[in-house]
Amino acid sequence: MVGVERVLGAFGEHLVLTYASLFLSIAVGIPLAILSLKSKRLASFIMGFANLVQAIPSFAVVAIVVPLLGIGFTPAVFAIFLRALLPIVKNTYVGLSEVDEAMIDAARGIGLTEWEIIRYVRFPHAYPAMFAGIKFAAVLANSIAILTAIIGSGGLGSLVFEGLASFNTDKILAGSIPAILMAVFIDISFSYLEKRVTPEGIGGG
Amino acid sequence: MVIEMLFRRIETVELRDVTKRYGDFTAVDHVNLEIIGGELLILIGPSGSGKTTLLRTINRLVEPDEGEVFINGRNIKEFDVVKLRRSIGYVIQQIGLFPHMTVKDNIGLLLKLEGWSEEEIDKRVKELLHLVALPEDFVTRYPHQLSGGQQQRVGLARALALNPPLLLMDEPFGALDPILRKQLQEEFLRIKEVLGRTIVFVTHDIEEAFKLGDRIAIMRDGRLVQVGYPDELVLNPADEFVAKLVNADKKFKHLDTLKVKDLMVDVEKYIVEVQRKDELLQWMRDKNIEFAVIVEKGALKGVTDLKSLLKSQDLEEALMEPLVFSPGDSLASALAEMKRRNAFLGVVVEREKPVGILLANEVLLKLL
Amino acid sequence: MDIRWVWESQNLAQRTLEHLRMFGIALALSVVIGVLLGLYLYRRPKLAPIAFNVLNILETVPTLALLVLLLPLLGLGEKPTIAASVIYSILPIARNTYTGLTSVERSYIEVAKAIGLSEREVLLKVRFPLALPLIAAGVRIAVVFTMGVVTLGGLIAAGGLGAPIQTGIHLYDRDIIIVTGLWVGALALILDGVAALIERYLRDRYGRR
Repeated sequence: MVGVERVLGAFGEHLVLTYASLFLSIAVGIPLAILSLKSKRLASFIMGFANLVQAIPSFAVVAIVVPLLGIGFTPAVFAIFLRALLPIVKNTYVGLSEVDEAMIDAARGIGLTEWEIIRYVRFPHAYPAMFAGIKFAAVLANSIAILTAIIGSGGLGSLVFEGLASFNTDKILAGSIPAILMAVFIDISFSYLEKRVTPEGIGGG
Repeated sequence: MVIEMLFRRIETVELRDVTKRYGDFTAVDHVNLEIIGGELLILIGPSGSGKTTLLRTINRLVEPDEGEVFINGRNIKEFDVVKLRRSIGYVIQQIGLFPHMTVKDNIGLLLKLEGWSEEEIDKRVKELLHLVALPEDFVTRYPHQLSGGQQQRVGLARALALNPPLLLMDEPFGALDPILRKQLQEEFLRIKEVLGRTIVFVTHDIEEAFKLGDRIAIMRDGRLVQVGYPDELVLNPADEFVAKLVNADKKFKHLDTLKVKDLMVDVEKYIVEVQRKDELLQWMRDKNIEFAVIVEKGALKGVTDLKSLLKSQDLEEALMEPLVFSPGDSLASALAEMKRRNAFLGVVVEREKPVGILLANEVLLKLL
Repeated sequence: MDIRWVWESQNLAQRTLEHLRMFGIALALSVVIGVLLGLYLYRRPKLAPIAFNVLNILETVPTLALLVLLLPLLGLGEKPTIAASVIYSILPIARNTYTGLTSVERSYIEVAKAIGLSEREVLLKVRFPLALPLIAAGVRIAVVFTMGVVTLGGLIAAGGLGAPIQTGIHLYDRDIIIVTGLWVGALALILDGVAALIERYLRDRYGRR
């Protein structure tokens, strides 16, 4: 058997790892998406880059971080951040930029500043896409946060790898089951949030 | 709540030599146009004629490549662009409403951005809904819950929120079906009277132009072809294109927009104050005229023509009571009345004094 | 950095072949199962929401957790790796197949019926070809998923390119990590690129305008 404290401790580490990376991705991703609105060139560069990196296996990304930043918690956060950033930037940008040009024009015409247009017109329209991106990023972060135990991040992944090394099924389950529950929780809670923040009058979602 | 407007009222809006090019295409070509404070000026032309582009130079949604725009004599480039736009109402087809905002949020958005309190916004929104004839409980609705006509009214209310002295309207009724469009035009005329502000209105519908416009500016291929009052355009079109646009095959379709004063002839030549028949006969022969308008101390007494004058014993017998119109009467109904009474002329009277004559033949000649 | 040394010492040619073999088997299985499931759900649309909900939840399960949970059932190595790849890849393929089949424009179907095609012929000659671009888009997503899972297979003794990455991390060997990591990345981009080309071809050929 695996001690309850051990599992709780690992779970706590896992949560910190997942959410720290996710918040970092949101904090960087959304401004980056807004910035992309300013320049077509920056936008196509970021979108192209996002599409490329999304195709690269997470394991390769986690590994490549090691020669750059070494091992431990911070490199792990960085690896997760790299993967989680892309769906957020991509979806936010698509949401922000797919607002009907005629509506932007009307907003400008009645005297909204560029910032007010983003704040009052573009953002409400981008919410559904943005939240879909954040949800996807959260699921991804939760998944990679287990893998990063291989580069010393700690968390539930440590239990999984220890279990693998010693053929200890209890440890494997103690590491993987909470992570799965976490994934389901993320899916449900973000879907709920998505519904809450999507303004009425905007289709889809 | 005091709103900071760049101008309280419009004296003039002046477009000087305005030109806008998109690549090789010249959308607006050296247009000079002066809009007079208080009027509703129509910009009309086929699609691609540059009317919308020209309109959009006034709120700087389009920056001209050449030329300048002045409001009350000040170059609009001197103003902060956001303040300029908030001082100018802007109405376009219903796409302009924000679908994620309620009616209240749509109308009140600018008020909120200007720092109005919730209560002030509530009050103003209700006032505006009343003005555009929508029920107050529409505040919580979303645009997609409204009909096209209702959306358009909300759009107008939003444009009026900050009480701007100048309104730009870009085919506001363009997306509505014909019956609804007519109804909204009528209502708009009423609101326009109440508001009494300067309006520049883009349309491609000549009937709408004649119905709503004080003056009409006709555009083609980026150029301003002619500007004038409706009757000027009808009676003296600058070229074939204008003639076709204002007349086409429906020559008299706009007759109901013309007034008696638009086509009456000067009365001075025919007016006379006499007591005796021979005196009048002599006077008419001298002047070589067929009929005369007789007055007494300036007031209309009657009309007569040579034929009846020669047949009758004295002046009293020859005098006929003419059809009388006032200058503001509709030309169409005046002509109809003349036809019914089989009268070849009508006297136009203002404050009991004759000011003009309506001659059926003359009118028809001019209209043809 | 000595690329050649890494290539030879880590046996990367052999590893690459193993990797592509697992990838090929997993993707082929995913396409067959995914398309068949999409067709089945098209026939039984009432089941579709349930099936997609279940697959959606499976999709959120962390990859490594799924891999290790399959160990007791399938042992170490290739089998659980391929199984996990298929489990993740079914959803995008089945969903796109289903959407593609159901969203064919009504007018095409009516024309097909009018000229006398049977239900079965409508499905095979009209709906399916028109759904191909969307199915290809689903397969492209599956390519990326499968690449990711197969790489992780290295952690449960499945071989492939994940194995030398793991070795590199354990030995803390920069060269091995960089060479193998970049090689896997490049391989993933190439495969994604090929999938994109196929998708584009099908879209040009059968795309709706």
